[in-house]
Amino acid sequence: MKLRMEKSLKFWVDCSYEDKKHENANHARVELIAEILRDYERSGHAMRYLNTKGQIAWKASPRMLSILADLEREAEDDLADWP
Amino acid sequence: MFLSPCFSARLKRSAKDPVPYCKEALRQDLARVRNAWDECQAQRERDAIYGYLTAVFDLVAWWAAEDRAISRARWALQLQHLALPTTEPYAAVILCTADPKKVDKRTRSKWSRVLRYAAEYKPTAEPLAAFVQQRGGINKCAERFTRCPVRGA
Repeated sequence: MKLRMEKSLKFWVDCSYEDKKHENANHARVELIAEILRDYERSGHAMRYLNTKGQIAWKASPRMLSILADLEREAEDDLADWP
Repeated sequence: MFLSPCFSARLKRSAKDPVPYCKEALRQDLARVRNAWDECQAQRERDAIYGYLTAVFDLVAWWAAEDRAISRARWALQLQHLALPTTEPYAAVILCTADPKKVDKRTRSKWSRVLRYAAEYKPTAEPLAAFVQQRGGINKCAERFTRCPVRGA
């Protein structure tokens, strides 16, 4: 079964996958991605939805999007303070 | 070994689904719909209710795509310790997420009819608010659903 993901979520899931893959060398990529999505969904950072083609897909939750927006603002502020 | 049809269907489904839907995920989904309710209550605009109805509609839409809308709606009611003798998932999600002091049985039934009408006729890509507004609004869509001779929902 294909796990369809919207762009911003996919970026963070791929980052988590890179962190996890060394500790889980005997796991298939799809298994690890599924595990990451399960954790994201449980913690309220990812959610499932029906895309415009009527397929079930995954996206970042409003909570995750707001956390990412805050981080981006902080990074911009830090950059502005850079001498 | 004999497996009941219900058990074997569940087994097939879990074999296909690499990320099984768990209780915590359901809680998070309901919490998000409840947030949409709080947000729409905090706004003064007349159309703010569409934000909430869209959240309800979207949740039930993907449950329905997995052919699990009724069982998950019952699970949601159970999780909230609510009793509603229904096989109607929209009404169940509304009962679980909206303030019962503000949404009585009649309103719940009306919104549920609107959402069932949209589930039947709305193209997937069209936003719920646009679909309902173009067809005369919430009351008109509820009425259309009631009059509808053939109902798949």
